[in-house]
Amino acid sequence: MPEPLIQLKKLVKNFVNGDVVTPAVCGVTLDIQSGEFLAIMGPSGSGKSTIMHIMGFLDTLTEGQYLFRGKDVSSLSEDELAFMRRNEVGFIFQTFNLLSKSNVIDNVMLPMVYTQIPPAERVKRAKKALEEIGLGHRLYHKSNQLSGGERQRVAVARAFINEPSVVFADEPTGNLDTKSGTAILEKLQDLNEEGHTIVMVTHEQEAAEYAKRIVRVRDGQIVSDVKNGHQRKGGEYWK
Amino acid sequence: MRYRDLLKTSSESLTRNKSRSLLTILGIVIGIAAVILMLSIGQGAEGIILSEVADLGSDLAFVESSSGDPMSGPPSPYIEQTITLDDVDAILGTGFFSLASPVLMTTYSVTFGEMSKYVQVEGVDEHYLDVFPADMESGRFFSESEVDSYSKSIVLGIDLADDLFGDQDPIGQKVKINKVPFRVIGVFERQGTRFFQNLDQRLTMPVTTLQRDLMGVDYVSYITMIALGDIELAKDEVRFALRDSHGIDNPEQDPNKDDFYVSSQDDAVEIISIVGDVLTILLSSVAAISLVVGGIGIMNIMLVSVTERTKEIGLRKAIGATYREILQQFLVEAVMITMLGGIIGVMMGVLLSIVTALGVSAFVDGWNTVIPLEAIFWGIVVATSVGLVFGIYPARRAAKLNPIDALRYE
Repeated sequence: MPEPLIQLKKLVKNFVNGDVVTPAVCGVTLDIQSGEFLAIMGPSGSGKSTIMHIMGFLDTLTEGQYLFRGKDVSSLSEDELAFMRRNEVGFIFQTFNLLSKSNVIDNVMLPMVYTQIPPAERVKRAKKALEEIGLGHRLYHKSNQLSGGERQRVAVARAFINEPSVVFADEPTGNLDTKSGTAILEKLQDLNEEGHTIVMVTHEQEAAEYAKRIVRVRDGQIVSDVKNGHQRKGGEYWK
Repeated sequence: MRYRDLLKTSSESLTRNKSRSLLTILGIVIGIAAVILMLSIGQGAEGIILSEVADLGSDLAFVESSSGDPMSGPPSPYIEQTITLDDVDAILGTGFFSLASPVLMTTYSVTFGEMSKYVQVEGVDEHYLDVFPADMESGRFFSESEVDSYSKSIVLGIDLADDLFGDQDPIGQKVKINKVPFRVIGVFERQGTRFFQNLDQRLTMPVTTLQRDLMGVDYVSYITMIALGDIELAKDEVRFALRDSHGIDNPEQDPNKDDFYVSSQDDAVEIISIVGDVLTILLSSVAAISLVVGGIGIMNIMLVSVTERTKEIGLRKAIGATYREILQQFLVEAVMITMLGGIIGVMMGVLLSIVTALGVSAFVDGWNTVIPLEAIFWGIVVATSVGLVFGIYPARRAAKLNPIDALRYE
């Protein structure tokens, strides 16, 4: 087996607020290979989002070890963490987090602002990504003029625009109706089949069924980690 | 991050809040515009005074009553008038001057028929026009014998003559000053202003008449002198002569012991430039205060902006912006806004200076529009630095935000 892309070893995360210490993650060990489509499931407060934030370099761990491509992340400086976020990961959020006053194409190009990619190339890439996700006709709409489903599609295009090693999706369908949600999940599945690694946090069983592997978390610990034998095969939406 | 992206990002957020951006820079705009306008007026006034002083000629010296050296401190509120017509003879007696001419200045009401006017009255002698040249519109100036004989003759500025007599020929008209009748013997040609006095509204009469028949005094306001050789040497001679005639024992030549003050063009230029320097310091302090106030306003607005855009900052950090890049974004925003304020302020200041100069030149001859180029340069530089200084705190607040907390901020 090749070296895992992500290795969590006895990961512990405590939130400290004054004298009160709240444990969020209590010793999680998890390997994620390149090319996987992993769903982390659990009720709210189970620590699944915290695990994802640590894997996405947005948060730091309290104890244990996090290796990314075999490299210890704890040793990275603030700037090195920013470079990891820039080059290695993409995010899809439950609340989309688009710049509401910017247009669609500017939103998709935002991650490239912090790279040296030349402007002409940025526009080309963003257009292509938006066409593939069915928003080629909405390039210059303001993002607050779009429906929720369309906004999340913009967010998907943005997450993949820098060709990251792994994309983290935090409840990507949480704010969407079933049809829009299905469209997003099927898109993620397509992108995974093209070779992208995806880690999705969700509390919906239906959403999790699109993944190849399902990890269940409760009270900060992994309670099951199974290969999804009957992965829901969608793809009709994008045909 | 490329500079282009940095500038684009910052300018976008400024144009998004146009009215707020404009209100924010108003303080800076007004501060800079006011300083440029004031400097323009100050330098315009200084320029016109200096050119008028230069017109007087470098061989001209003045002596006036004084309670000490005016350069050494504030003038005394009461100055005993000590210069008399005898001093004119004492000065000429030194042999260092070709000419010495006294002037006694006061104001009186002049009456012609029903018409009455409050005017500047100058008592002079027959050499007056040799010092302050003026051509006659009509009639003639005083003769030596008229000065010596307390003649009740007057010579008027052209506007005053018009005001009093209208279409009538002023020459030979009789007017009353303080109930004493005088006869008009001449009218000066149009002269405009000198040292901000309208010469065309003045009234001159023999100094002797003014002293004896109107004021009942024996002093004069000042004596003007034209030196023959080296002016500094001549000024020293005046000091010796006057100490002698005023009975002042002052071998150490302490100007504070004299009851008079001798000055020339150079001294006037020196005083004017001191006044100019003081003006500049005062204006700079006002500018500094207004820029600090403006800067605090900018800091305030930038802090509001950082709070409002917490989520955006969180997102930018989540997609890989570094501390430095967020810091730069907000700092460039603050600098752009103050630089814009500086530029608008400079444009307004220049515009106001031109308008003011046009207005003033209608009343004061020889007034030129002065655009203080240094102030323009410093206005923009200082305004920009204000953005840098007052932008740092909000920008650091933004850059230090934790991405997770920022993304969750509602």
